[in-house]
Amino acid sequence: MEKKAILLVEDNPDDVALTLRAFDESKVSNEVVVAHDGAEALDYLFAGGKFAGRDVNAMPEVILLDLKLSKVDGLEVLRRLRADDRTRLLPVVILASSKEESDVVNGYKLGANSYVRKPVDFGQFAKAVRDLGLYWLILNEGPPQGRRA
Amino acid sequence: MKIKTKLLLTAGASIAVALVLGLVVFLTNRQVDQAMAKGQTADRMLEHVSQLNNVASDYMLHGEERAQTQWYSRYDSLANLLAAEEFGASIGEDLQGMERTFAQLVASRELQAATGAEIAVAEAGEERLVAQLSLRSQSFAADAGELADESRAEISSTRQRATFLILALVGALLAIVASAGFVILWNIGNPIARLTRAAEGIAKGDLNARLDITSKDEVGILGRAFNTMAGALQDSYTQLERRVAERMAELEAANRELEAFSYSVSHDLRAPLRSIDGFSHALVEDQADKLDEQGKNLLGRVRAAAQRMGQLIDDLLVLSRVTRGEMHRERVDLSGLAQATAEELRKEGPERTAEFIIADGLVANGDEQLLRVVLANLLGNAWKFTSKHEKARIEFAAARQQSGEPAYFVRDDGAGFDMAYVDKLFGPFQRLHAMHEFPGSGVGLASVQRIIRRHGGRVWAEAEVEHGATFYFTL
Repeated sequence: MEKKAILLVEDNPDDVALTLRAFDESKVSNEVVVAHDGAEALDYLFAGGKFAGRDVNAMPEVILLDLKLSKVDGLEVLRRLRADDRTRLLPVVILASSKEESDVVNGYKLGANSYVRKPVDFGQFAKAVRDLGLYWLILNEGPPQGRRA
Repeated sequence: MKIKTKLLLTAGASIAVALVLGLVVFLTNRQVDQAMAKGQTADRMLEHVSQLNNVASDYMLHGEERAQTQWYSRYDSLANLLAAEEFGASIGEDLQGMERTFAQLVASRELQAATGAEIAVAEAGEERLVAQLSLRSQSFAADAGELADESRAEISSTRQRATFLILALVGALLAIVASAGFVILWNIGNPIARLTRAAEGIAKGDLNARLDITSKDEVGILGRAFNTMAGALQDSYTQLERRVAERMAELEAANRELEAFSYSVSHDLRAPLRSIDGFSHALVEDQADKLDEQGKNLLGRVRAAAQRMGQLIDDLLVLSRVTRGEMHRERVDLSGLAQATAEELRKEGPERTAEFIIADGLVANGDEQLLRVVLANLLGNAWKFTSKHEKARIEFAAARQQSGEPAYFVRDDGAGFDMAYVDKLFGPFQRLHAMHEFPGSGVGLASVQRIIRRHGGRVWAEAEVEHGATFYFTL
């Protein structure tokens, strides 16, 4: 079975590097697509901009979404992809720095499936990434691909 | 017209009427006295006249000198009586006529006695004189009687007049008093009732209450003064409200700024920390062959420092949230919270043998989230500072104070602290132990103190080095 991609939406290059490293360490072999800001994330999903021509039927297995993004921020990305039939059912894990109640509540209100706070300690961070991978890529049953909501 | 003037007028009128009343009574009495005196004199005159006649008869019969003298003395007293009262000319004339006739009678008798004239002629002349005397005295008596009647009539009519006048004056007095009462009722009582109602209205909170009093008297002045006062009150109230609203807006703005700041802190400060820690780890792993123990050690310290800073940021966020957020007061099951916290601590360190003794049924009124933080901090501290001991005993209960309020406490038998530094205990970032002995940022107790203070309570501690510590708080 073709392994599905993971969409990582993260604007901090350090965090991108560390996350990819963590994925490596936990032997996650899925393709990780990185969008460096909100606009890029939407472009990828809806095959716009530099991702024009992408097969939109091949949606990522899970989206790891940071909240603090430039151009279009995380919650706005979430709102847009929940508004579109093609992406409404996609599992979204908010992977953010803050644990502020308002962020968590808004995230869930807009339809996020999960909210994980990025730990400072890399060991814990790596573990979190591994757990996320185990859960969303292996254990969880995602919505069927290629079907509109 | 002013009320004062009206009342003064009525008072003056009453006094005047009273005075007139007094005068009427006085004059009436005097008149009656005078009339009575006249009557009495008239009666005495009648008496005298009859006596006079008796004496005259006596003289006629005996012709004695003594009788003559008596007659004259009686005559004199009668003349005196007459002179004392002003009785009119005719009665005076009668008296004088009587005297003349009697004098003639006397003269005739003496002549008779002296000359021995014919008795018949003398008798005829005497009879005539006697008849004249009798006539005169009758006339006198009639006049006197008339006078007596007159005075009685005068008394009666005076009394009638006086009664009528007095009744009229009393009536006038009553009318004046009644009008004064009316003035008070209408001009004072009525407005006062309205003033009272308006004042009560304002007291109840209706600042629009105003009086509709247009009279130009003192009550009108009071009414207008009241309206002015109510207006000023309303204005100052409005101003106060506006100022409160402004202050509230300022506070809310400040709060929002603070929230934005905290939000920024929670995101932006942690990201670089993650990088520091993460890449240090990466360095250790990837360059393991190039790094010696020293190098790994150094990077370890870098990582530890980054993690500590992360913890510090979290604690600071808690501290700021504690003072910022709204408090929702409700019934909180402290025993339950303590149990839950104890469970979490046990899960974090399953290898430890620690005994948690938590009293049942401890309930308090406060914000559940914040009280959760308090217990997490106090129990967490107890857990931390007993970690060096083999067995730990951590107690959460309440003690009754002198004031009757319960003081909750968390007691442990761990490392304790030196009471000499008890003042520093609750300051933010203050630590009484070295970092390698017991980790911590020193913010926990500061948070506890702020939370307890917001609940209106106190927090304090007692301890002995190596013999544990007890932290008390009231709510």
